[in-house]
Amino acid sequence: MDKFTRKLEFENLWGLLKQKREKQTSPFYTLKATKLRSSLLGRLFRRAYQKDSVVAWRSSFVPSEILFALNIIPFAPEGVISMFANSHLTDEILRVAEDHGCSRDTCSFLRGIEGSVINDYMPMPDFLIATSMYCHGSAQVFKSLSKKYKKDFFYIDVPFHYERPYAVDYVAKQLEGMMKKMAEKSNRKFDVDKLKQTIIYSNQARNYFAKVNKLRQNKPSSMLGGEAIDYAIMLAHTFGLPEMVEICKTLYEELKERIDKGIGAVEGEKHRILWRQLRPYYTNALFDYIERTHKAVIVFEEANCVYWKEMNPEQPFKSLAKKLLSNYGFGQVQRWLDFTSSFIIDYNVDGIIEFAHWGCRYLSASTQIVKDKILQDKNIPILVLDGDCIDRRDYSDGQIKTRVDAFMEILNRRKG
Amino acid sequence: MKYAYFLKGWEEEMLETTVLAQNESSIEEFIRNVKKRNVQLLANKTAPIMGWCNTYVPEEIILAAGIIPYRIMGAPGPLILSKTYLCGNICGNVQSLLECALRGDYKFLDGMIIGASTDATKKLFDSWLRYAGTPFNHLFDIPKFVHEGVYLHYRESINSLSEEIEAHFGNKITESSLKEAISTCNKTRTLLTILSNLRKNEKPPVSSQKMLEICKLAMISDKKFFNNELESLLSKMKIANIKSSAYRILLTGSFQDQPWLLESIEENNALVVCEDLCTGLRYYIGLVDEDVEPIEAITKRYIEKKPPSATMISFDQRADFIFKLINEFKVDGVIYHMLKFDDPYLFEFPDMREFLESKSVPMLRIETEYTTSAMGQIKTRLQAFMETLRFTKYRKIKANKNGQVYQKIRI
Ligand code: SF4
Repeated sequence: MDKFTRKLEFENLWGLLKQKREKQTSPFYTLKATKLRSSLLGRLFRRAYQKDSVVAWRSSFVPSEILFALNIIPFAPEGVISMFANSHLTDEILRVAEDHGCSRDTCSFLRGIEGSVINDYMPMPDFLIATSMYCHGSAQVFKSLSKKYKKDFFYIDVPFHYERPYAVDYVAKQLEGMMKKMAEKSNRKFDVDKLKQTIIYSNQARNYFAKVNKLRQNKPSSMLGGEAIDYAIMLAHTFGLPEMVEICKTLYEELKERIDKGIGAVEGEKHRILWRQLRPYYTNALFDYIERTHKAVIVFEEANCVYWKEMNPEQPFKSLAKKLLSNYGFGQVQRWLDFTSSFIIDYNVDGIIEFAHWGCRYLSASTQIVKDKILQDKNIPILVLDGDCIDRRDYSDGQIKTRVDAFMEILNRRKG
Repeated sequence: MKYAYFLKGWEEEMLETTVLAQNESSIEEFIRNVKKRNVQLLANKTAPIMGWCNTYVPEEIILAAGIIPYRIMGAPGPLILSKTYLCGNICGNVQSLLECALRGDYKFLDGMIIGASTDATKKLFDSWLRYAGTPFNHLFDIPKFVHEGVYLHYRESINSLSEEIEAHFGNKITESSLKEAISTCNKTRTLLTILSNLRKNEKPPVSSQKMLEICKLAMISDKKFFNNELESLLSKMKIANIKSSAYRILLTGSFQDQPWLLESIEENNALVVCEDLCTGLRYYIGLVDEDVEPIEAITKRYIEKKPPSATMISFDQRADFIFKLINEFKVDGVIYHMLKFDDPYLFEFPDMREFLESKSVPMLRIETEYTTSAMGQIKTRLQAFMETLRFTKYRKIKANKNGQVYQKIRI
């Protein structure tokens, strides 16, 4: 591992933060659990830049449980790009990537990673891991970067036909093989007992988080979507750490307390909104406008769904494979639609807002099917906001707000 | 060795320019015959017809079930219906496939197999199923990265496809029908390769536009008839020993089945001598081993032997293959064509540019919509590229253990 390089990267990043950072004060940090969550992410982020850390870059669904069992620091470049966007650091990073030949039509999370690597802001990885889940681009970018860094690339091939009988064993075998190879390469012990322990922590966090999601069905809603949506990144990134159990437990207790005291996330909740996909990370104003101005509370975000069953620590690889294969958004659109339909009922939803991320062919392409199906079966209005989660150059606050206003009009009329 | 006579003694033959005209008329006759047969085939269907898209879908399985494989393609023209069912930032080829299906162009299909090679094709399947559905619909899963385990994945995809076809059409896929299908497909591939290799000659006897048309016909015709006709065409083809000053171009990148890009390139004293495309070499290079258990052999062909697309996340293999073609076809420059929103190629491009730069091979990047778009601008860029080739002609000068090395020679 080139220790010096990682120091250089940290200094580059630090220089950028000092020079350009535009601090956004989030109006959504109302819970103690949220502060604990930020501090855990911050700690992991800093450790990824330390010279003696073994760091694995992981794309969205790579299970960190395996990494924690090997004492390897997970680093989620897509998540870090959203953090950069939050501090308005991505304009220059994206331009650098585009100058390098990355098309502006590609996903800005991935373009952002390429730009950050070119500018040496990212910590040198020891491993890069991607899966075949969701988009094709992230694995392609990770593979290309593994060549640049001359580091091992692991690819977890998750069959798109997740229900086929061979799928669980097929994925489990790959996970086990990967863990063995990583242990060997990083001189760590391949310790299945330690993996079982991380699975136990992961389960505990999962169960609290599932209870949190259940509490969020309460009317009035006890948590703002603007605060909840950023928990989504934790589901695969930090599950497996004991700290995460504590965070989920705290979150559960705080929401329970709010509900017991009859405190709603906003006073006079008017509408209940289901949020699909991610959010624009460079602004908090959109959620604030929807939730506080229009009193249309985002009662649930699909990205926060606990779609997987509790894992069996005695079969750690099989359980992790099942977790991957049970992802609601992976597979044909019908599976996702079924989840959406159940959220509409469980959360007593009046309307759906989808933020369709430009550049993502995976998440946004089936919007019409969703519209047809949900309207036809459930008669629920949907607002699709076309935008970009990371690239703010074409974002028009005024236009988006006008569309939100029109949508709220529809919801108001429906309620008579 | 049966075709070796094509490759022998060309230099000795003093052929007149009329040879080129004779070749052209033989090619025209061949195309006419195959098209005529296709019209008959659609008019009097004797077997079901199965649409497919993506070169990782094994045609052998379809053929072995007594079904005619038919590669569906888009068509030039505006995208009207598809825009309603797929979002606008999906590659135009995929949009166009759906457009054609929605307006009824593919009503004659008895089934459709879509290869799950990209995000766009997976989403196409969702829309196809709901809005365009054929009596039989199948999403064929394709691994995207080659490691030891993926053979199992591909085999499982073949098995599911076979089971579903057998259940729906009631046709049994037997070992002998599979072997026969493999041999038929191999023959098509061999003949197309021979035809394409004729373009290694200074004055190619077959143009890129015709090569594209023939390759497309191979994908939609009764293969046995096609093979017989192509074999007879090859026996008539002759090589003209004529010098050519045209720049020799390799075209690589996104799916392209329309001739307009080739035409635009060749308007500029250039010849596209080789197409690393899904309607080119990526369709016909790589044979299925006929001496091995059929499913294993098919799996090996599609995973290992077929030139990979960018969807396969195997950049080194792709780069090596392209460099080999550059040497074999004496290529002066590479045109890298990307369809707007076609992620695998959009993401691959920076690496390919770096690779070709490291080998001092000139490259031009062109990004277009699926149908002709901004032609004026493209033509200007093509002209400028040919200008650079005029001043910097590349010649093979020495070989090292990694293969041929090119060096700039100013002429
Ligand atoms: S937003 Fe879409 S394209 Fe971008 S990284 Fe996520 S899944 Fe991939």
